[in-house]
Amino acid sequence: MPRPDLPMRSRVLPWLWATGAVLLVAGSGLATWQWRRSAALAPATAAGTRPAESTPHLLAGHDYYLHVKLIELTERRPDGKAWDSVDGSGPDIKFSLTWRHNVIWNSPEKPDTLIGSWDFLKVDLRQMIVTGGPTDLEGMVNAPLVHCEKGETVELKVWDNDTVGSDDAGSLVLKLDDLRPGENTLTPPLDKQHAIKRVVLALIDRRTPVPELVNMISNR
Amino acid sequence: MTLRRMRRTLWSVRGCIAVSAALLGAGLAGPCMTIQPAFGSMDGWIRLFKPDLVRTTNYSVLGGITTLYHNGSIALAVLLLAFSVVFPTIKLGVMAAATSALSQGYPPGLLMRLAHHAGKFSMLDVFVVGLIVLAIKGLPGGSKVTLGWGVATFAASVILSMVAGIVIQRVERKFVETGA
Repeated sequence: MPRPDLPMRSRVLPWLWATGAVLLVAGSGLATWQWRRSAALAPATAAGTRPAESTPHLLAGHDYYLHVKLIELTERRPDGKAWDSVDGSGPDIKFSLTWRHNVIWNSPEKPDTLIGSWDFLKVDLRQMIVTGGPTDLEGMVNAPLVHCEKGETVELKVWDNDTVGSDDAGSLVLKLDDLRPGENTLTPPLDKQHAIKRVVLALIDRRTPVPELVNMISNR
Repeated sequence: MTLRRMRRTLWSVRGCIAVSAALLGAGLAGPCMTIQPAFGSMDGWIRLFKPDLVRTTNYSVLGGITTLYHNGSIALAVLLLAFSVVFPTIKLGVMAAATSALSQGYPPGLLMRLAHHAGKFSMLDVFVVGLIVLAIKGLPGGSKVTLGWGVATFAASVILSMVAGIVIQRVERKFVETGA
């Protein structure tokens, strides 16, 4: 380090140079960290702000699994009353999908919750044990198939399933023309007609190769 | 070597040190390696039922050190922190100070000796990364590990700092010989 007999400027300068080098390392590291962080966040932000026009649409003539991944309900029924006035528990969410005037799917119930979620695959162990033998991937899929054509719609009906009398949570008409392959998040405007706050759907082409399908399923 | 020429050389060395410092920072925070786990024929099932196990992980040198620390390998984390972060940074700082001392006309003997010792182990993390790559490539199941640009940047920084160190030593020797 600088000798004590040197003038102040000569003693300070080497320290300044040393500090400058250390600061440059720190600055460069911070800049790289910040850049990587923003790059990691960018795809999610871009996906959130991408206009609907630029997203790919479903292909006419293809069959799609219509998987309802998640349904979130408001804290009260459409008429403003509590979901369960007796014990104050949350709704027991069930839904059905109606396509071409036929109910093509009835979901299992998700009890006492405002957010119900369903996985794409479901293994019915009891049935497998009872019937024995192998099971195919198709049999494990927890979603109905719909055929995509122009103007096609599917009705999603949601209710609070009670043994005494079910409370309607509302229904949504899903226009396949407005949906895109992969995950779709719908936030219908709240009104007195329904209590559906958010619906997350996944539309998966039936021809998707199994490895890609497995990748999609792992993204819950 | 005239004082003017020596100062010109020292400015080049400072440029080297500046680039090396920028590369060092980028190398420490930049992606060092990406590990993509695979489980052979069970891969599909693992992806289905334990997706967390097959998630691709990116590590930077600093991120790796943090992970080691959080996973209980504190000694290794401290060792890597010292030899990959602290010593190379100190080495650059000391070398920058040495150029300043030389340009003012006095020899930076102690400074350069310090720099020389501090930089001796600064490629240790590249060696550790190499070992990890070897270890993972040897695993069954087809796990993949790819090196990121952070390793190249870090290595470039170390090489540049070595060049700067050699030049400073040469300048110092000339300085002593000529008694400038």
